[in-house]
Amino acid sequence: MTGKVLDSVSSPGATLWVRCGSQVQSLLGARGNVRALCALRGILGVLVWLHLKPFLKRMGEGIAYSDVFYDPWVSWYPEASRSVYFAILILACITATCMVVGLWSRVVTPMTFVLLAYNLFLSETFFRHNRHFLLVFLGCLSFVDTGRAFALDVWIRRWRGKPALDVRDVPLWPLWMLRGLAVIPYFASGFSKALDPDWRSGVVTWDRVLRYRHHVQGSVAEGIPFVEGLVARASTLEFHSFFAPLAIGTELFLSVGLLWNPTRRLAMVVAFLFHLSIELSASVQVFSYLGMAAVLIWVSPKKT
Amino acid sequence: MALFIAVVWGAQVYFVVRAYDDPHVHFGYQPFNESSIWRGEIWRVFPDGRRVSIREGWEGYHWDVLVRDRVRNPWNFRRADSGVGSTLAFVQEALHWVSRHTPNDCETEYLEARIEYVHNRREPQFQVFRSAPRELAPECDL
Repeated sequence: MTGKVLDSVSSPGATLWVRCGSQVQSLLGARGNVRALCALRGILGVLVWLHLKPFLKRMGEGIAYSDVFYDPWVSWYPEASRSVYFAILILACITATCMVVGLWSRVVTPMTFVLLAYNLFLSETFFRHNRHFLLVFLGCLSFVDTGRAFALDVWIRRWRGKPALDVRDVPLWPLWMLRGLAVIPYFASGFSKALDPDWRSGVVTWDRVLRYRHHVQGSVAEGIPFVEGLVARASTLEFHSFFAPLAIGTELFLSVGLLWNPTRRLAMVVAFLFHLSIELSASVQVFSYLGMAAVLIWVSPKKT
Repeated sequence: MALFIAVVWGAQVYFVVRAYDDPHVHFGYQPFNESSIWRGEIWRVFPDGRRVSIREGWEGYHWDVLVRDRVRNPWNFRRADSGVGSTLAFVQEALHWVSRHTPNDCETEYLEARIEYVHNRREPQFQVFRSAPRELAPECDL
């Protein structure tokens, strides 16, 4: 059918358009191996637990979101009563646990997404980029049957005598959607920093180091010449006038490098190290762990 | 399917662009955007114009108990989460919220905050915020 269409098109521009269209159609219809996404589902379950920790801590003190200052996004948003809110948090813990072990994966992943999204949109004060990023992953994985590997679902099917579902034959369009959404943070972050003269010059990172370097004093790292030398060097603006453009360049590289086949493997390594270094130097809740786990979505979904 | 994916990507790109005009940078992915710091003093202002700091609490209330997120502990310099713009916006909203949720306070006409902030090592700046005039609880008339 595509051949007939191509034959009937005369202009080169139109031919290119049709070719792109057919390539998009073939990508959207592609099926492949989602073993890596199955592993990611389990990791996301753990990250949901980490994400819920501050909310659960507050629940343990008997404090609901509405007992303290909160800032609704919109006035018409349905607000949960105390008991319903606590039930939502507990239910989210249960669904997250099910995600970890791969029980009812097709149901619990979208459920976790809905519960966390509801909680996020209760108050603007709850918004964090890492929570948004986590929701993006949960939302996209909701469209994937991630219970075909690394899951209790596999054992349950086997126990019931049902044939195993092939993990190498799953629609891949949610993966393409997720890949597109996963590179946007790198570009958005790198581009915004590149536009900001304070960031480009290194002032922002330099100032942060100056404010937090005292954490090294009194810690186990105090007195280690290498660490103290590193902190001393990182406390100069000259260092950051080199470091800041490097950080910006890394983010912009990742936004392109992960998408392009020839650079993908290098970008995966860089992304992992990049998030590891952030985790070691700053507190960003689950963002770093998620960033490192997200490398899994760049594993080739080839059927073999 | 293509349309659905395009809408999802388009929405995310829209929020990235919109973030340049949003003090909270919602869904815009601009982490570590500033190294700014801030601190503030908050007062109860009475109808006769007197001002009393709420630093030590008032009528059984404490700011840090009522305000747990974002603009807690304003008395000492601390990092401005998500940038100064976001912090200032939350200070204003927190003032409104606290003024509405302190019914035992039968004297305060409004709350006022004077915020000092340093944007990326520049000179300190000051800004004053006020809550909306308070409506006293019915018990206050008794």
